Amino acid sequence: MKQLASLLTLIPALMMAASPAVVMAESPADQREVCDDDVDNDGDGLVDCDDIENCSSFHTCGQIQGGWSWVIAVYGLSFAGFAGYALYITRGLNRARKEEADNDQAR
Amino acid sequence: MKRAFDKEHIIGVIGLLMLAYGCWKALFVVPAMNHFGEVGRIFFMHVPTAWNALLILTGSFILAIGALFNRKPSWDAALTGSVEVGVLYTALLVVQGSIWARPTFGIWWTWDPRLITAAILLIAFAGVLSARSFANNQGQRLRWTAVATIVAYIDVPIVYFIVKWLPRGIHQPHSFPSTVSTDYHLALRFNAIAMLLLGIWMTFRRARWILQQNAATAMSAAPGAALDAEGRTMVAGVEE
Repeated sequence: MKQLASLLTLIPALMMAASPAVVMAESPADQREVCDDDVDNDGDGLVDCDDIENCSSFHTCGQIQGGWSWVIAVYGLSFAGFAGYALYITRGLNRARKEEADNDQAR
Repeated sequence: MKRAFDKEHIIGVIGLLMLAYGCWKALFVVPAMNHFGEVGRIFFMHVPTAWNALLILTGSFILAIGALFNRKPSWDAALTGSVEVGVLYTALLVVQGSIWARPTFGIWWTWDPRLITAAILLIAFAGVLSARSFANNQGQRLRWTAVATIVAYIDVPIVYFIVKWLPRGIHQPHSFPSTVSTDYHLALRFNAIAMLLLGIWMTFRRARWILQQNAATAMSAAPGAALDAEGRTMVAGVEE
């Protein structure tokens, strides 16, 4: 019975020792780089996106392709917004001034 | 009759020239950003828009307090103009951010604290303009617009500080000149000042239009009459 009890305690210990997860936790070099936590998880001296080998496919790392179309969309939309509002107020003001001039003439 | 030259056009022209120079620098001169590539050029439009949206709405807050104290139609007109321009800038800000997020994070929108508070800011100040449209006379319009602006303004410091209070969101924390490459300073500053000048120009123009409308309303209501501070028609100083 005593032997069985010591065997039961030994099995989990042996399993833990053999587990790759435990080995990874003990050795930073075997850990994977987490690409957005400002920490050098894999211990290679490179943090996040600077670790090109491990993070180039991460969505905020690497050179984003087709960038100009997004840039044109933002600049175009912003200019359209400014110009549209400027046109709206200029037309409104001119209309109001014309009305005033017409009223003055009528009097 | 020849109309006098409106002096605010000088501010508008300077703003336009500065924006042209800032955008030329941002698009064709500064180097592409690490990791973001060409998409990083969106920053030169997005960041100045954000600064100016908060700045113009702060101006609205000051005008709202002033308008409540002096009750002058000119203050009401300036307040309304600045709120409208603030709403325009905030709307552009939210859309620019959404376009930025698509290529960089793979999403158009997420429930990030900065994004949520910015969207609330847009809705709150659009609500100010909506409340204004329900008022019956000029006095009521002034009071409602000013009070609603003061209430809506509560969100402005929240938008600014939320990245400090809840830093784990998708939005990056505050940047400072020391944390931004010196290559980018000039384009950012030119665009920021240009947008501020254009915002001031648009506010002036909108205020002029509102005052002109007020005068036209007074004339059509009773020739020779004027509106009092409450927007009621006055004939020879007597309220009708």
